[in-house]
Amino acid sequence: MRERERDIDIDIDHFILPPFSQFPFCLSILYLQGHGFGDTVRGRRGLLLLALFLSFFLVLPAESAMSIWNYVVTAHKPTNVTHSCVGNFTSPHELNLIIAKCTRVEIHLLTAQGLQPLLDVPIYGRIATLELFRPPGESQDVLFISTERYKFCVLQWDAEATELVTRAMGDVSDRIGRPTDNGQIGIVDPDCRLIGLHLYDGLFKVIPIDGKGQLKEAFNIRLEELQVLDIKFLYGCSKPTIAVLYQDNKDARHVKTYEVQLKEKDFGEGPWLQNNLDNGAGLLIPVPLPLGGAIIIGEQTIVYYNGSAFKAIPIRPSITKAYGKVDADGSRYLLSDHSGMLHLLVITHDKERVLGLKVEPLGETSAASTLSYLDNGVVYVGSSYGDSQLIKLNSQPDPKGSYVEVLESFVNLGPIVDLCVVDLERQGQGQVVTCSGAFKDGSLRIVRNGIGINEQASAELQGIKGMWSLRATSMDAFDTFLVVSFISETRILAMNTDDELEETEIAGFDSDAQTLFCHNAVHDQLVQITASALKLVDASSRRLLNEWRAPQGVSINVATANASQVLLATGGGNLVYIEIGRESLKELKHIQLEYEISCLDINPVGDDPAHSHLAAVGMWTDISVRIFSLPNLEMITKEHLGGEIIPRSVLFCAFEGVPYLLCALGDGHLFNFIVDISSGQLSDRKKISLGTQPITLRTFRSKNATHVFAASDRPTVIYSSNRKLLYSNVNLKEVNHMCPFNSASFPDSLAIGKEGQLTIGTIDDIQKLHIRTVPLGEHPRRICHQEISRTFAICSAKYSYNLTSGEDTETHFVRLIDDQTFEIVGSHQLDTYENGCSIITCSFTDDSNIYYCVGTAYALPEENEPSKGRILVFAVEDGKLQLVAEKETKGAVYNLNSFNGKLLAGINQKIQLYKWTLRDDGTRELQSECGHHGHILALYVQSRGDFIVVGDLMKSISLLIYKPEEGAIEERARDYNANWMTAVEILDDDIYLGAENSFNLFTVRKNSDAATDEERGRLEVVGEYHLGEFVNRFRHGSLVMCLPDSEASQIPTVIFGTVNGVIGVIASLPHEQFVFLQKLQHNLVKVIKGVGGLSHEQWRSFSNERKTVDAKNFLDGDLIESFLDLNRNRMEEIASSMEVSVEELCKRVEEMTRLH
Amino acid sequence: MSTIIEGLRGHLPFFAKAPKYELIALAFLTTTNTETERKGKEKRKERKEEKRRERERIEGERASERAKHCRAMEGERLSKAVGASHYLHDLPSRGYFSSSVSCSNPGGLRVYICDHETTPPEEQLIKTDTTNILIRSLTLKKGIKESKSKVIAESSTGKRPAEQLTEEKASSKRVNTGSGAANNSRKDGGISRLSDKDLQGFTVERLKFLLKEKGLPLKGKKEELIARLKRHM
Repeated sequence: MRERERDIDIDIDHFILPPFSQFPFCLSILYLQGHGFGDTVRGRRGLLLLALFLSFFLVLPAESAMSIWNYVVTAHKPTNVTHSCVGNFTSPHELNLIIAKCTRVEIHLLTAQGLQPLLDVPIYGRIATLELFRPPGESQDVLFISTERYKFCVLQWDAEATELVTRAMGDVSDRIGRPTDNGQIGIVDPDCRLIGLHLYDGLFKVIPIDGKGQLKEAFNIRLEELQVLDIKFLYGCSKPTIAVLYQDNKDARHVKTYEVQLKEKDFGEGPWLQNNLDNGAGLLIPVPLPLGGAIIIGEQTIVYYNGSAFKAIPIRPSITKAYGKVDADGSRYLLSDHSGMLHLLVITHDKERVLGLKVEPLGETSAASTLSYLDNGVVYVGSSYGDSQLIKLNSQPDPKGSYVEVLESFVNLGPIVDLCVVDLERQGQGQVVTCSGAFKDGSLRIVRNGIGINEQASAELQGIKGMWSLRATSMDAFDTFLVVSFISETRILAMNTDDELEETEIAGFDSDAQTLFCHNAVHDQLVQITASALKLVDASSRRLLNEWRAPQGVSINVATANASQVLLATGGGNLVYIEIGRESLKELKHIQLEYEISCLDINPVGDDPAHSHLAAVGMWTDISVRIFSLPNLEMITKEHLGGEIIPRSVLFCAFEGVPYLLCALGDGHLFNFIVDISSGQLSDRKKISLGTQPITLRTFRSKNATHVFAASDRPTVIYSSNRKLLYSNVNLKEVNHMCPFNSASFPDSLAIGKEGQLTIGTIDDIQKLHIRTVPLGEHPRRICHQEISRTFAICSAKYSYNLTSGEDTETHFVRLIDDQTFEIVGSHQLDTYENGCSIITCSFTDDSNIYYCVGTAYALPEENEPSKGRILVFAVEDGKLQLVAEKETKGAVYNLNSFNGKLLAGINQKIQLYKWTLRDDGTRELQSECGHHGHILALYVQSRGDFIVVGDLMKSISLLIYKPEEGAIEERARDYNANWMTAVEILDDDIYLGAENSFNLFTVRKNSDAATDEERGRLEVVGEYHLGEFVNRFRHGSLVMCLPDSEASQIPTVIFGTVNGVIGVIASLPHEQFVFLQKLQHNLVKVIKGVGGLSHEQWRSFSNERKTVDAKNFLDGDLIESFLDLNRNRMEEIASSMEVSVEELCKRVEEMTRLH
Repeated sequence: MSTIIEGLRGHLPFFAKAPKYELIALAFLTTTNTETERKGKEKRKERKEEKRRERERIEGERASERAKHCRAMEGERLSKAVGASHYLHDLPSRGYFSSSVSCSNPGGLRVYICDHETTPPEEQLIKTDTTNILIRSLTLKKGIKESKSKVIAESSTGKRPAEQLTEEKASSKRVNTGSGAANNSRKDGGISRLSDKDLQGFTVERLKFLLKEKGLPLKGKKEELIARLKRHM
């Protein structure tokens, strides 16, 4: 059990892949150190040779843009929940759930209906501990947060200003000290006398709290125990008392208690101690009064002890990862183990004495990292390895015997161990498929920017010119008719009893003319406008009530209507306003404008949903949009749009209560203005490009919010969040027309007119990133996509618990997955102990087939370092995996790359090149061609042309070159820093990007034009940045659609995935843009302060065990993009110090937001 | 070799407590490739094999034990299948989550933008007591000892002068170690702290060095140098 725990700790908590424990690395380190000298000698000779070749390579044209200047932004925020707690934070009468997700804190409010999200607070640090406590004499809790880089802060909610106030903060780092191995501990005394921190081995830091809740100067106390596993404050002690669970140097575990003497600044002897506990004891639970004492959770036993009473019970072997207190008196606790089994721990007592312990299994949830009992049987399960959940504990089991009912799941992508960028719909828009989750919660997640339309039905229909949906009567909740207009006719479709769309007729409508507009009118009528007439039809009898005809020789060009009003334009700039009566159409006003009218809208945005007092008119010739008052048709304002492209569609629309006017042009540009309802004036003009073709705008409702669909060559949904307009792509190619069609059989659907096709489909939730989950029930570790077979291949590990042996077993597979259905279509089971380490799709010289190549390692339990592995070559035949060739290797195949028609593998400390040769019998095999030693473990390899970039376990990045003439691989340059790498990528010919295990990013540059060999052999560090995230994979690609004309698509981007489930984008900017944004960032830091007084500069400074330096050549996109969330005054403040207009600033920042 | 091993200890906590000879052995095992090594390998293989067998045996025993245990647990669980219901009654409730329709809206989470001052009140910017723990505990112990010794006998304070002596030694050492020390003393607040007596104790060379640092003329007798230095303090 212990053995396994170590594996899990290393393998999962850090997720440094390869999946072997740290121990094996040591041997190879020694091995290489022994060879070190020989290598340098050889290296020198190689350099001389290199110098000869150098002249050739220098001639190669350098790529135009250098990728030195990088912009890092989060596309998907961290979702790994590490801490949670419950208390009265926002008000004495409100109960809050507070969740920590690595670098963000979420505050939720408990209500009778459920959990109401309040705030998402970014923290400039990785949250190490999070605790709520109530200072003496106060009615509200305050929040204590400490970060991994030794800062802490105490936050209080100011309800009046709705702000987080910093009550106290400080730096708790010590100059000398060995950081703890088992994670930082931060605890608050239940009687609120002090805060205790365990950050360094052998030291316990105390921050005293005085009677007024003020913090005092902190001090350290020497703690004899070096390997501390857990520390908790005990309840009901006259002096603050801690219980320390520790391991001695014989690996036995004990609990000891100490009194903290604040005056003497020292420990006093505690009330009790308990030696020789369960070997797997890992968690302490202090029990509140009246019982007192503590529960010690082990892997096989649970013990209660308070100095006199000792109770113990055996449990099924499991590793308990989290606990949550149910009752205030501590008589019931929830426990969650590593496999996600939820248990109830009951202390039976008679109010004074503990009589016994009971453990009852409740059911399965995601493997929890934190449990918070909320109220009324509802529990928040925060998870690092799967989706977090809100569950309800039922007192009666369901048919499967589980007492747990999942109320809600919160998506968690973490830990992302691998990802690939694919374009499954072949539309030029990347999607990210991640290997997410661990153990039983493993899954593939398809992350897509934009909104999906799920096709329900479709029909061939050529030449659609417009579409409207109509309800049969005003009383109906659902739409019945779908009016489809063609160049010289109008067809009406309706749902029949078999739920099929069938052509029907509305007697009063003119079906032999093109319809310009259709609507349900206020007195249970239908309105149809054609080129010649406006028809008013009774909805129930479908007979014509009234008609307004255009004067002879004049035709209606454009028309619009709402429930009670009609506005139409006839040739020659005539504008006619008509009001709808019971059976009448009253022409109230007629004016003539100087130019032709191109588009109209009278969608009501005021209080009255049936009547508007504003009309928007788009004009030819002077290219303007004008606002008229209704019914007088007096012009209120005129806005020139500039350029030569006419407005094609105007629309009034209210988002989140803010009225906007949208105006779309014939070239795919869109203007938006904020409308002052009472005066009709326009303000806050903004322009953005959505596509290249004319746009038509339509509103629709989804999930009780109004959105706008912009149909064009790049269909887009416009919506609002945080009072900010957002634009999301729709996964359709070209849409000419769209109308909402909410019928009984297709509720909440849209009818979409494409070239030659009518489609009815439902729309996804409106949000920026869409995540689809494919649960696997096993742990995916590597993924790769093959275009030709339209499949994914993954390496995965299946964990199962063997009841008879009582052992956890793991089996490894290579799985083939269909890229449309995401069903497993083929599997190949690997040998016992064999792990899949890498997978690629590749082809070889002289062979037209495309193969999957899988690199494996035999992780034998008695072996420190895998000494054996395999490269397996699979072909996909009839949708199945067919093993074509295999090659044994002398170590773990950590990575594979397709390399000039050959296969490049990183095997333990070696880089090895294999060629694909034909044997006499016609079969093929991999044959070793050449290799390169000189690494500790060559974990990450990327190649470009003949260049090979290697990310080493602990020797940073090195650059190798393959010389085809000599058939040799030689080292060209290396970075001499000792960075422990977690991922590398090549940004361009000269700049390489790396991520290391202290959560930093850096870039290095090849110095090919340096004067001396020595300088050429050195990769110069050009950029450094603290990301605060453990990156597992970089991939070139983009989450957004590549528009040929937009500026954003010219910017090369790299996507990364991290342990906390972050998907981020690194964009290499042109120098001018970088300088501009750097200036903006500099100004923003002065305005946007770090929550809790934490400094942005310190947070983003590159920092590891060896050095801390300021960030350079990287920009914090998250900070820069928060400019758009500032209020107007702040924006102006920044704009004035930047000496540009607010509009210009907004435009440039919005451009950046479109990168993700 | 030793640096390698120390390096290892630093980086890999796993090795922190491994005896040094083991590490050296490991290092040699992997770097040499001689006849003896091969023999050694065979021997080790044998030993490994033995160990493995033993481990297997133990493991087998443990597994069967565990299986027994599991079966017992399983049986227990089955027999008490209704147990949990009994304990899941009267879960604490304060009226939240009482409505049967529970829905939360993840889209409603507002991102907090902090554009107000966040520095804490001045006295709440917490720092750590910088006194070395050892010194603190020593002074603490000394305090206790003193109070004890005061009670017992006044004259037994032989240790204190010795401590003072060492302190003095340290300070005089710092002063006399030439230019390097001069830099140190400047960092500590410059020569302005030096007393008249200290200056008198300096050599002429040292005084001249201090004068040079301040850009003052170097001529004159020792007394003049001291006077000049004092004037410009």
